[in-house]
Amino acid sequence: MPLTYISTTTASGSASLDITSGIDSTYNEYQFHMVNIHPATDSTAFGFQFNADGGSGFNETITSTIFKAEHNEGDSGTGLGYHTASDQGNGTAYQRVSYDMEIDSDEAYSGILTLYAPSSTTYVKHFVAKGNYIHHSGKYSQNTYVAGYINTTSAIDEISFKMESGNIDAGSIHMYGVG
Amino acid sequence: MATLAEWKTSLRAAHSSLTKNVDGVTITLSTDEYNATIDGWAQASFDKEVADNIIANGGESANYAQYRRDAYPSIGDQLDMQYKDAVNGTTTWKDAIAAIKTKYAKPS
Repeated sequence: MPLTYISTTTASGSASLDITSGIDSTYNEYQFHMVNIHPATDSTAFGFQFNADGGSGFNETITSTIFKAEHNEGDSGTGLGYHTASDQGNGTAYQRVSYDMEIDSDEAYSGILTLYAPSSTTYVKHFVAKGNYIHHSGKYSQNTYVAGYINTTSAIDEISFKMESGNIDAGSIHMYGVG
Repeated sequence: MATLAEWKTSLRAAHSSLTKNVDGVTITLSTDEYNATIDGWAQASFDKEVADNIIANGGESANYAQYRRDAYPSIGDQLDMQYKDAVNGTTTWKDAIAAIKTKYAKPS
C-alpha cells in the first residue's frame, strides 16, 4: 500500500511534539516515522499519547505491551525480554517506545508507529510501534516492540510525543497516510 | 539522592520557560502547562533515581519481579550451573538465585 506524506514536525529543545491536524477518516491507517529523536536528558524515556475528537489533553486510556531484543557493542551481552515497567493496563501515561536512552550526541531513537483506523467510532484503536535506540548502560542496541490499544470508541484526531523527563533536543516526526 | 522538591527546584532553575511544537509552530507553554511539565519531569527523575538505587543496592520494590528477571543469569548459564552443581555436589545455582531474590525483595 502506498504512503502519502502528510506533515513533518521537528524538535528543537521542545517539551513536546504535537500533531493536531491531518488525522481523520481520509486514511484507515497512519504511520509516524520517528527519526533521530535525541533527548536533552540522560537515561530518560520517549513516548506518545493521544487525544480523542472533542477531548481535552493527551490522556487517553491505553492497554499495551512492550518487549525488547538487545545486543551490545562489546559483543558480550544479548537479551530478549518483556519490560513490565513500560507497559500499561488501562493507564493514561505517555506510552513508552524507549527507556534509559543514551544521550551522547551521535545517539538517538528511530522507529515507526502505526495507528489503525483512528476515526472508527465502533472499535478501540490499535497501534504498533517498533524502533531502535542505544541503551545508556553498556552501549546496547535496544530494539523495542510496542503494541496496544486506545480504549475508546471515540475518534482519535491528535497525537503527542515527548520525553518522560527533559526536552526533545532534536529529531523529526514524519506523518504518512497509508492506502 | 535528591528529593522530589529538590528536583522541581533544580528543573525550574534550568528551564525558566519551555516551548512545544504544535503542527510545526513553536509555542511557549502556558503557566499551567509549564508547571505540569516541570512536575512530571521531576517525578520521572525522582522515580528513576529511586529505581536506579534499588537496582544497584537492592531493596524492597513493587517492581521486584522485573529487577529479578533482569538480574537472573540466562537460561543457558543456569543449566550449566545446575549441571556443574550436580557433578560437583555444589550449590552455585541455588545460591545465585537466592542472592537475587534476597537483593530485590518483594514488599512485605
